[in-house]
Amino acid sequence: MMDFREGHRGLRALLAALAAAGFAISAYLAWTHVSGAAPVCVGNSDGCETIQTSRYSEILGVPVAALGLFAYATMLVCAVLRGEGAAILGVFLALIGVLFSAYLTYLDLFVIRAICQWCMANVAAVIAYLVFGTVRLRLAGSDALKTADRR
Amino acid sequence: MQKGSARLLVAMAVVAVVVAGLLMGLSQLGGGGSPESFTGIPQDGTRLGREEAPVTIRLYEDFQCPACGQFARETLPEVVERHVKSGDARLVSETLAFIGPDLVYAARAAGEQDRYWQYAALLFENQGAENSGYVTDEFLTRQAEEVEGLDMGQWQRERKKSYDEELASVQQRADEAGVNSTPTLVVSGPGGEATIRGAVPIRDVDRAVEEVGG
Repeated sequence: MMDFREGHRGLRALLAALAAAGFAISAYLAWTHVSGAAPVCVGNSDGCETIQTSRYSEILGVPVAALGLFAYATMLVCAVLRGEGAAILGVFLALIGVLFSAYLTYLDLFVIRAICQWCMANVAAVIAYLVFGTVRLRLAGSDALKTADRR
Repeated sequence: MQKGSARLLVAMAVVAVVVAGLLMGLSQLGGGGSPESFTGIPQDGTRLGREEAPVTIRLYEDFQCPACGQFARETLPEVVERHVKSGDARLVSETLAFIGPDLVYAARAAGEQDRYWQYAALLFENQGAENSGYVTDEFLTRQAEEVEGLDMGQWQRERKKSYDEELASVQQRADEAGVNSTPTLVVSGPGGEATIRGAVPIRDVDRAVEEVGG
């Protein structure tokens, strides 16, 4: 049974797992982008390569996957740390991630017209992080309220 | 949750939206069909790229067609980057004037000074709604002023010339190639010919170039 209290260890472990998964996927995509290797796509589709080589795969010369790498690393640290501050920062990054992922998914589907399973997995990870991160934040908020009441 | 925390969360959400919006804006700056993309590539009239390139991509397009605009903004920069700059292919713009010849005349006049592609990129970048009357003399002149190195006096004179003969030749080639919609790309090379229709993504062009490249 997941422990949602006592520093929300179970919830934080889940968030850490999601951030680690996102980090691993981003690391793989960043590596393929920098090395020029074609990402392995399920079903031998070339959607991942099409997206990875499109003009939208970089922002001011920085691979989008590298931005994801940085964001997930920070989200991982936020998941490991206790306290409301870490929970807020984690949700903040996840919210940016979800909004930006929605934009990227729109580009994939309607502009580049290709689907990359790695990108979709990343979208799922960041949405899940936002949902569970928000739960953690609510619990952290009510804990803070109880502590204040006791005083 | 306390009032202060609620305010903090609202502020956080607002900042997140702003940051995400900023990222989206910056992402749109990447690559793009800006006139600078053609710097250093040989041009002659409506041709872009080395004359002796093994593959020729004839791009049948119309400056007011929205799908052509989408192709010019989204895919063309990649085509130039991957196939034209490398010398593997040359692009030839075959503009059809389904809607009105003013745009084609203006672009061809820029082509007289080997600045056709820079001007065409601006026309697509600033494309208005089809048949909305956005193509005015002022619009055409404003775009021309943006093209670096274009002699405006010469451009004004040359755009008053008739390019009807050239337009008729393009129409004839289009008919022979079975082009009935824009954009259509006819890719030819030592390995044969391939026709691609619509605002296709770059991978379709990659495939066709590879296929006919021999």
